[in-house]
Amino acid sequence: MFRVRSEERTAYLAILPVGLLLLLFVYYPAVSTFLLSLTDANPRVQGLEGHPNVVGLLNYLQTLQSPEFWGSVWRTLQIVLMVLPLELAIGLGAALILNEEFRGRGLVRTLVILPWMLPPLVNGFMWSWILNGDYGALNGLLYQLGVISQYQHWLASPPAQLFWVAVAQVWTRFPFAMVLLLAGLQSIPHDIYEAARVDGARPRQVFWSITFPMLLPAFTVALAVEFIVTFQIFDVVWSLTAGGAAGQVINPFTKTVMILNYEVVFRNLDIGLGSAVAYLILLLSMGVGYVFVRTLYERSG
Amino acid sequence: MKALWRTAAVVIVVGLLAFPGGLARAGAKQSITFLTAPWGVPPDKDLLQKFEQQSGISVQVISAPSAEMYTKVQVASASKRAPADVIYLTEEAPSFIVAPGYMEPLDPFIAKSADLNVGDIERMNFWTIGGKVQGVTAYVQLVMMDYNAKRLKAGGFDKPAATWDELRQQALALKSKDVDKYPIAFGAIDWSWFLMSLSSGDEMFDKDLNPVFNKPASAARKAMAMLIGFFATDKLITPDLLTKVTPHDVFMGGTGVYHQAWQGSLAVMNNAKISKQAPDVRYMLFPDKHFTWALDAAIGLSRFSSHKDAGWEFIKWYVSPENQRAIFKGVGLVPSRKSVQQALGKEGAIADFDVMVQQSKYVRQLPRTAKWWGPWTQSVTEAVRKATQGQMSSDAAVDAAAKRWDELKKQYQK
Amino acid sequence: MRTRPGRRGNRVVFYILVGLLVLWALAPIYWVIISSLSTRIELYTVPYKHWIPRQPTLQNYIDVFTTGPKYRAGGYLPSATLLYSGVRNSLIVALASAALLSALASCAGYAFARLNFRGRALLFFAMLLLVPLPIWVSLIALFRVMSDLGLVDSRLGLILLFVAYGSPLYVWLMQTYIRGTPRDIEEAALIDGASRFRALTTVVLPVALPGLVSVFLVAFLTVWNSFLVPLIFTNSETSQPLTVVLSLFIGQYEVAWEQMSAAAVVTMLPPILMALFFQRYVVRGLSMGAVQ
Repeated sequence: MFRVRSEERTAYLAILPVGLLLLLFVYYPAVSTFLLSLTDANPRVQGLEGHPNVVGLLNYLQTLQSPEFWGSVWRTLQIVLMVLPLELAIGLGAALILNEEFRGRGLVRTLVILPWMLPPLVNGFMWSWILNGDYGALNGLLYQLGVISQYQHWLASPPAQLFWVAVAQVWTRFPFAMVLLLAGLQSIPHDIYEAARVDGARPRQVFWSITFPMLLPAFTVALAVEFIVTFQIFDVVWSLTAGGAAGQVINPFTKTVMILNYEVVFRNLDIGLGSAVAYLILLLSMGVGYVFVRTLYERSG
Repeated sequence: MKALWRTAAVVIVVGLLAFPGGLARAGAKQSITFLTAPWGVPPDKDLLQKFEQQSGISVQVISAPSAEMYTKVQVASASKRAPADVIYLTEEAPSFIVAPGYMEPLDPFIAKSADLNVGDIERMNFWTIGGKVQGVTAYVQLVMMDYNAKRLKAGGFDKPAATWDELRQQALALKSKDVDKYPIAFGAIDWSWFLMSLSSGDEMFDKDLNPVFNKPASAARKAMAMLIGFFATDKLITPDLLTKVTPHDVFMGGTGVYHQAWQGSLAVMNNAKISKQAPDVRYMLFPDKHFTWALDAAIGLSRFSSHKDAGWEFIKWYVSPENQRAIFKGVGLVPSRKSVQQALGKEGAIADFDVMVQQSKYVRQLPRTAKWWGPWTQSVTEAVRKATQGQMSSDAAVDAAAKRWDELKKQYQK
Repeated sequence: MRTRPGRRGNRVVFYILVGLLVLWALAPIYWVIISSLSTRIELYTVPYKHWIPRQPTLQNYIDVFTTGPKYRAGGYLPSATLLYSGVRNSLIVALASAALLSALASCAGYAFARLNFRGRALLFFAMLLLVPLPIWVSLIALFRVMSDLGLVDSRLGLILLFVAYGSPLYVWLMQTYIRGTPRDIEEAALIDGASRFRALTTVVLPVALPGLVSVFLVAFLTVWNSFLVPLIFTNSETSQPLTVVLSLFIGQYEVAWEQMSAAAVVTMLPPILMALFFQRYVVRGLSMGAVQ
């Protein structure tokens, strides 16, 4: 009896610090943000002495009917739709290469992981310098190779801005897909390949009939995770095309859902509305991520 | 294993060193913080140190890009916290920081400070809002235009354009003669449209703060069409400026003959160390009806500061003639003190002083102290940018701006 | 796609592919590094052709750490002050958060893995529920909490935030690792009269060490790389980390790319070193964290 109680005391003591921190910094703010989302809180409108009114679900309805919101969802989805296939294709290619035995494999693996480790903010800066219209590396390289005859402004048009955000995101995230797929590849038993080889199957057949189906679970996980990560993209856009901290003006053409949310809350101080937007983004990204996993799992049986 | 824990302990101790830093700052008696845009940082270190020694007040300067600054002040003030004791008010600050009531009225402080000689300071009326003084003008700054006289001459023109149509023709000629591929350095932002509209003679708003810029065939509509044309069809402005916030570094990099500038810009643009345009940049009077607007800056006290007296001492020092001279020398910003201005003018220190004086006769204040001015300007820039990309016509951009103004006005006056 | 050993032509193609892969992964980093080592004149040559700097120089590093570029031509706060404080703040916050997280996650993870107590399942669920909850959802209310506690613009505030938001994931990770350690030695230690804490530190953690190292490194990396949270909760040199300092330089007056690059290289250095020397731990921690 006594033994059990002391064990319980130890256990409570062990989780107490984490529990307190979670209550104070995670649970309480999350709930109170939700409550704020049910009001029209905007300290600029109400002034310092005024109080916000409860408006129920009005903020949610208003957001769902706002072209501004759906515009940002669409821009975000455009980025996602470019990122996912590109990232998984490059990740798969890299995984297939690293699945082979060759001299220097360990080193190559180490080097290829690097982009994943960098701060996303630095990633955005790096690409904005690469793409610079006057002195950037991309201009220098393509000019030297004779692909372009004069320097280009790569970020001039809105579709180009979204595209390069996607490229920067793919560059920094592909090692993640690679690691997942590589683990998937290495978990495929070797005798299956042996058997296929004995049966005289060609490499391409082997890939489509054995490797790819066996990789499907890893693909699914990568897709879902990357959907959520890319849907909530912020830092890279911030330093590449949004105008960043310096911008009195947030660039409208790469205003993704997270940037919109930042603008509504921290620039316009529309706190009630912004809280609703935050919860909607969370629901949307988690919801779609979940649907991804389900459909893909069902498809693959 | 022991080693691991020892390492962990050391690491935690290092982390705990974070405490005393914060405590020391809160505990010190005469220590104030000054939150400013980068160019408000006192440029003369020795002068600041002298103030700190004489007054016993130590000043911690926090510099942030202006947009970031508004965010910080707003978020802290909404929770009734002082973002800093002394706050620099510039650009969109009247709308974001002053109008919501985050600043301490300065009248009592001014009343007991004869040594400030407030009568010497220009345009204090702009910072008097709701009958109370919210800040002391730190520098005066008309939005101005400058141009590279040498390169304009290379295109065969002796004088800057007197009308916007002439400016466009000159720019097209400069482009076709290959003097400059992109002869105009204007941003795809609200300011470019404001200044083109005002100088074309549009008043933009009436006395009741209703837009008049959207009247049919208004000068502002024509200005918008021309601005969009510079980007989209005439290709007179570099595509870099479709995304950049200000045109200044493009111009300093050598692109552009005409440039949207500010009162004091010549000190920067004719500095050969940083500008490829040096030393040939001159001010010009705005084309057509010449009107412009002003972006003066002020310095004031946070309403939530608990060191207001110390903060006020710092403000008095900040707008003192010595510091204003130091700021002019360091950054080229024009002093708000008439006495200092005149002295500098007499010494011939202010480049093109006569053009500046002439331009200052044509000033129209935009309603920058309306609470919704800040959010509104963001939507104007969005409209301009969409129009430059062909996503809406220039007329639609003007209409969108007017519609947004009405919406915001209604929301804020509820 | 699968190359067969022994066929020469295939082997050549294969190595070309390997080369392309490495080029794609490293070229952007390489460009920033050579930018930081180039003289301004070389770097701003049009058309550019100095892919290996002819006169490599450390001047840009010296400049950003001593005088610093002065943005928009004035006598502003030299970036040097900001960079030094940024390095200091980033190191302190990342190390302290990682250490605290490792310690707290070990304790709580052990409790969930090995101890029986009322409400265990419920508490565990309540914690796991928070794993996918991103911090930005509650930023506004969080700001009020932080400012009421006087934690805005302090390193302590950042540390507490990172520990709080990291803990669900890392407790879960440690709990998995500890569950995977053998029970019998621990029980032997307990029978010998060791306290639970002693058993945890002397018997369990040494076995779960790889997990603990992963947690420490991944937490360090995550905190070091973070941007949005410090952007909102810091104001000045007292607490601004490197990423925020860098963002203050970007965009507004970007005329000194070579110096910006030097600052960026400084910011990338710890993550790169970690990837080079502790890759196995970091990759395992990161991928487990993302996949749970």
